Amino acid sequence: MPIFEFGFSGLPTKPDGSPQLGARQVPIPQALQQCGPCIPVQISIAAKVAAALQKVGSAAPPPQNGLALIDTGATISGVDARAVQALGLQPIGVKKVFTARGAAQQPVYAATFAFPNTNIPAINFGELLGVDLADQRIQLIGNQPLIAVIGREILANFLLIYNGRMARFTLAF
Amino acid sequence: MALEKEQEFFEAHRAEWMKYHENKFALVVGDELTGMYDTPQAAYEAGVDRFGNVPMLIKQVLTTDPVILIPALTLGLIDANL
Repeated sequence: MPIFEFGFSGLPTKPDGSPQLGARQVPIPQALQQCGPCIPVQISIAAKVAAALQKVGSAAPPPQNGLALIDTGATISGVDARAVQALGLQPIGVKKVFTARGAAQQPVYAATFAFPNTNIPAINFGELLGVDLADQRIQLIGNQPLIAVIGREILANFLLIYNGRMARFTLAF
Repeated sequence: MALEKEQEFFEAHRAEWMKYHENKFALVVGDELTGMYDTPQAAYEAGVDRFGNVPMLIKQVLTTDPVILIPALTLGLIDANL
C-alpha cells in the first residue's frame, strides 16, 4: 500500500533558545497543531472542460496551486472562492450547509485534484463546495495559500493516521 | 441564488423521477432534464459535451437530500459567503 507521510521536525534548542547544532532532529508537535495536516494540491478544470474551451478557441486557465487542509469533520471537500474564479468554474449543484450565520445554499463545482510532489494519485472528478478561505497562508509550509479543504468523500479512499505526539500524519492509499 | 430555476424544476419532478430513476444522477439545464446517469462524473461530461462550460444541476434522485456538515463553516472558522 503506497504511503505519503509528512511531519514537522527540527533541532532541539538550548535553554537560551538557540539550536543544538549537530543534534538529532526532534518532532515539533506545536507545528502540526498550528498548521494542521496540509498537503500540496493543484486544482484544475476537468479535461472535458479544457477540450470544450479549446473548441471555441479559448485557452484553459492555469491550474491553481496551494495547500489543502485535511478536515475529517467535513462531509465533502471545499475549494476557495479565489480558485473558483481563477479557473472559471461553473456551478454544478447546490448544497444546504450550516454556517456561522445560519443555513445557506452553497454552490458546488467540479474540478480535478492533483497532489504535486507526492505519490498520491490525482482525483479526476471532485465535487467541491465553494468556500471563502480568506487568503489564509500557512507560514510554516513556505507561506503557501490554503486553497482547499479535503473532506470525507476524498478521505473515503485513504487510510489517515494523525500522530500528534510525533508531529506527523500519514496517508495510505 | 445559483441554479434556482434548475432546482425548482428538480423539486417539481423529484417524486415522479423517484419511481423510475432512484439513485441516478439527473442532469438539468434550465427547465430541461437532459439525462439520467449512473455517476455525477458521467452526467458532468455529458453536460459539458452538450452545453460547454455553463452552470448545470447534477443531482442524485433521492427522497431527501443528504445533510452536509462542515463544522469549520458552522463555527465561522472558514466562510461560505460566495
